Amino acid sequence: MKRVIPVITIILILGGLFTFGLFRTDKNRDIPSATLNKTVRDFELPVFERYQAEFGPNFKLSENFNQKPIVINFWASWCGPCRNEMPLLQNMYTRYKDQILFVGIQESDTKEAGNDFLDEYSVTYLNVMDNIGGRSQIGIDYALFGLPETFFVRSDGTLLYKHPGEVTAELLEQKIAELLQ
Amino acid sequence: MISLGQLGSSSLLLALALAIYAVIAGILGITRRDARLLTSARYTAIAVFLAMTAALAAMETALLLDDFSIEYVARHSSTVAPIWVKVVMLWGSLEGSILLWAWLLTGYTALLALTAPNTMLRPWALVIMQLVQIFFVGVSASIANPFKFVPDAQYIGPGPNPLLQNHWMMAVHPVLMYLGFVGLTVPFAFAMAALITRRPGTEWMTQTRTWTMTGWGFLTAAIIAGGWWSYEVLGWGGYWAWDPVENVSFMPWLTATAFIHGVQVQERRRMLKSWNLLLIILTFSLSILGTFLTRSGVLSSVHAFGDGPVGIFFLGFFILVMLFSFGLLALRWDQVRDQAELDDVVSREGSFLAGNILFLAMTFAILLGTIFPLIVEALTNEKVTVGAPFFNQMTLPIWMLIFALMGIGPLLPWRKAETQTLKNNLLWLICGGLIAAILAFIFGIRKVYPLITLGLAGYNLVSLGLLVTGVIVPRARITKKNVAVLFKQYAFENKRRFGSMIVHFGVIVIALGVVGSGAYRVDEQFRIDFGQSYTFQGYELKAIDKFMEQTPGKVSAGAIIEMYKNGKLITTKRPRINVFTGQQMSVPTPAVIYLPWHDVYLNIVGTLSPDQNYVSLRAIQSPLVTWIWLGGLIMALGTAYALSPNGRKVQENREIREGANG
Repeated sequence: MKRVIPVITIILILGGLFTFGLFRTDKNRDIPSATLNKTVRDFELPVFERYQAEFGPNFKLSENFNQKPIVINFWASWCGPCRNEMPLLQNMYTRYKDQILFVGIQESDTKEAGNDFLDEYSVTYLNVMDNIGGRSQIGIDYALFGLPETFFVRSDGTLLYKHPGEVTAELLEQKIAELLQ
Repeated sequence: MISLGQLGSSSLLLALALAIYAVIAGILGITRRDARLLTSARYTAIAVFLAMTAALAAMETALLLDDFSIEYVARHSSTVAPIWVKVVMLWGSLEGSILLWAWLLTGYTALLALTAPNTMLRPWALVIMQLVQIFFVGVSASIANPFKFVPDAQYIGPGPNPLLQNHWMMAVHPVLMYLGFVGLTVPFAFAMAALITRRPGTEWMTQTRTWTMTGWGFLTAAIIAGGWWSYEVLGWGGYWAWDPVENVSFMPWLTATAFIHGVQVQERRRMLKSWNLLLIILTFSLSILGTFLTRSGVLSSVHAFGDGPVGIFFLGFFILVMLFSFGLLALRWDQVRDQAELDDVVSREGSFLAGNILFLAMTFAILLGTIFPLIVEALTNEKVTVGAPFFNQMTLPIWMLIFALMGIGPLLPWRKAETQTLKNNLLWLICGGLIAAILAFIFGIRKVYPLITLGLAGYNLVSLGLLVTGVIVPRARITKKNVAVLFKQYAFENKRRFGSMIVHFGVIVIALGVVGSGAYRVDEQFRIDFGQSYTFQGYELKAIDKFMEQTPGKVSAGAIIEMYKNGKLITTKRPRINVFTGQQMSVPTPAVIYLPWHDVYLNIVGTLSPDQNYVSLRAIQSPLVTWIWLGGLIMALGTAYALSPNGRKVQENREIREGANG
């Protein structure tokens, strides 16, 4: 009998653990990304001409740390959901431009298509091209799930939250409020 | 007129009733020593299999005829899917996969009932098999009944999961997996029978050797096929992500591998009795645990079957199996303890034991990593993930040690090694390893693990060479026969041993593939205008044009890419994005250029609209990745060779016949 007891104990602990797993109430398995709360990958990318007067020919992310929180949005002209959310982002920018730095990054796309896109939506916040030597490396570095994808970065450069897919007004409001806390 | 759904459901219920009868008849037959009841139980196994075959046939017919009155068909199949997709949709989702599993299990049980030799173990082994069968058939007949009826037969579901219908490998991988798991149920059943009847000798393992090896071979092939599917379909250019679903298939493989090696020690030295029982219990329990974890939604995984109502049943069964088998082992402990002692650590059995401990340690590390998020959540209510780096850091050093043992172990004699022979062999091995490592260094390999792996690969190749020459050279000296003739004779007469060498060779090939693709992968994303080229790793990739293809059930948009090396056209590939009818999700389908030294893997990023004059591509170059699939094939072939009819007997029979004729 002495030998049976530890065996049963181990099995029951395992069983208890899995029963917990089976019946836990919040089964939303939204696991936080390992990149959260870590400093986001730095990049230096060419700026669309229209913003060069303000930001210069190249934009280096880390030079803007410790000033304002940053919202980074990856988009492409061929991506439908990016078109849907663009007016919303522009709207948020006009409201929060003094407190938050908005950066759009154009992914896997052409400069011309990007210019047309920015004209179409009259985007006035900074946009850069991830297109150095024909390669879109920053998208890989940021491990994009798809397009669009939006990153909420605290002023110290650490990632608060990232959202793959189209953003909603509520989500933007909520995350921006958290950034400004 | 009876509908397919009714036919299927009633066949399942019939199978369940028969399976329950078989267990009762079996137990009564054993306790009353009634041979008629035992025979009846044995033949009932065949009846169960036939009833399950009827259920399976009903499901396949329903899938092929698009009988949408059955919910499973309505939900997971579609009229426009190609025939092969309809056929494999049987195991494309939860209920169907359990039906297939149950069917295979009843098939194995029937085969066992027909072919197992009439020994003291057989009645109990069949009872155990049939108990397992009651569980699977029971789940299939009740909670996960695939024949559930939908009143509104007009309903047309979303069709098969696009990731599954995107590659033919999906027709192969799950079946191999189940064949492996089900096959390993047989040695488990015999082990339990051995414990119940107090005959824990080698009997149970020699009787199930073919079953064990077959199950192991299928499991090996299944894991490799799963990796290949992931590589061909998922578009990230990798094949193994330490995802819970992958881990739970890998753990039983590790313990089964340890078991196969442990069996040899027990056969030769009558040692490791309790150890082998422990390993086979673990193998079976882990396969049930895996089924539970992948079908209950307990662990987050990218490709689990999602939440099902079956979770609690599998958990209950897992706990029952563990309590029963470990409890039985604990009760019989005094009988299974080894009489023989390890004479010397430096011996065949010593190295096998060390290897087994390493396999078990790795299993434990992987189990811990897999369920760690659950432990943390239970204790702190926080969600965490355990990523690939943990698993790599934990398992890589263990792999290196196993790899080192794999080279020296088979060269050591049983009981005790002679110091002189050992020194000579070691000298050869180390020379082989050093030469390989130095060559690798000269060719520019600077990373630590690749250098060690390449060194160990050289060391292992020398080991295989020594194993063969150790037999052939003395024979050649005595018989003066041609070396090639002797080699053929040796390979033919020692199928089990030679088969194991082939398997080990496959392991070397896989190790090189893993190290090459893991450590020297190049990953780039770029854009090419049609008509233009981009140079990737010395290959000129020319984007010719886009194309659009419409086939029943599927629309593909893609790009035609020509690949040149030094101005010479190597191949034309069409990476594409598939959209399946009824599914929202578009599936990027990579094009893979298989080359012996490194694959080039092209995947379209984003979308391809009709007015687009360029394509965005992600290109990945993975050195030696093909060697993994090749190594898997070699391992499977080696296993088959070891299992093929005994060469020595054939040879002897021939000689006897020739002698008689002469």
